[in-house]
Amino acid sequence: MRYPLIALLALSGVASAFLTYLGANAVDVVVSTYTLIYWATAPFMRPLPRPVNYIHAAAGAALLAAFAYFAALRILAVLKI
Amino acid sequence: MQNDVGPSLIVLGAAVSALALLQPNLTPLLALGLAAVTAGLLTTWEPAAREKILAKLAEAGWENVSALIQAAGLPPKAYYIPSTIAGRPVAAVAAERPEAVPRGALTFRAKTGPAIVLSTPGTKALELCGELPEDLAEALRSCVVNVLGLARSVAVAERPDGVVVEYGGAAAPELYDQQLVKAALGGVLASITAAVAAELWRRPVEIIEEKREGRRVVVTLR
Repeated sequence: MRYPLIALLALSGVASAFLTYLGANAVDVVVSTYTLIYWATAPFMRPLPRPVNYIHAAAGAALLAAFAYFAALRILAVLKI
Repeated sequence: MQNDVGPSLIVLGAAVSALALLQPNLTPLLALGLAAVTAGLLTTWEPAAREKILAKLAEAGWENVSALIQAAGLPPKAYYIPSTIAGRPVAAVAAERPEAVPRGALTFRAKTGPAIVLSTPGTKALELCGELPEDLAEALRSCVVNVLGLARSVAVAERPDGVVVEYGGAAAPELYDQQLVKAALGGVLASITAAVAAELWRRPVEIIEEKREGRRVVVTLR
């Protein structure tokens, strides 16, 4: 589990640096990017013992919910509803 | 120390996330903060959960040992035998202190009846710790504190009723807490203490008393 965690931290650090460089200061962009990184590294984290896999899955679900909320806001803005 | 890494990462991640949310031009740092919080959560819970599962799986062996002691009709009382007597550090469960233990035996007949020879957590600890200093306090500090990391401090005092070893900040896992084998071998720390003492003193050692108060463990040997 150590290498996927290092990858998660390293990729998030790179994403933070790149978004800062681009001047992307919107929370939705940052959270969506982190959600993508989180789920990209998730398969490599497993297998996890029971209480921990619940925590991991719950954090992932919360991130997905946040991503869905931000995506819905963007879609509604595009559709002008 | 490993237990402190997780909470530290959570605090660090929370601080970075708060900074990212409060300072508009630092918002991208939120990704790094969330990653630190996630890594902290997993680092905090994962090793403990895995250790718990491994201890549960290993319980099968201790259940068998308990059943063996019960089936042999022996009192749950072990004598820790040094390698100079038994060939390797072991514990002999017997009605009385055995004078000799046949090398490589699982059971043998002592003066007062049958006896069982067992490997203990102390046996395995001695394998991990290697060469030890001649002084008991130094040896326990080297093995239990420095190599195994099962306690923060150790103090040894000689009393008329035996040698009292006191551990502070004990963090030893419970391998066989509810079983008969605990009454025979003592807890993990007591077993390691007795095995180390037997090796240094080159004579059989028994655990007279074992007390646990929070993270303080007191073991009395004779």
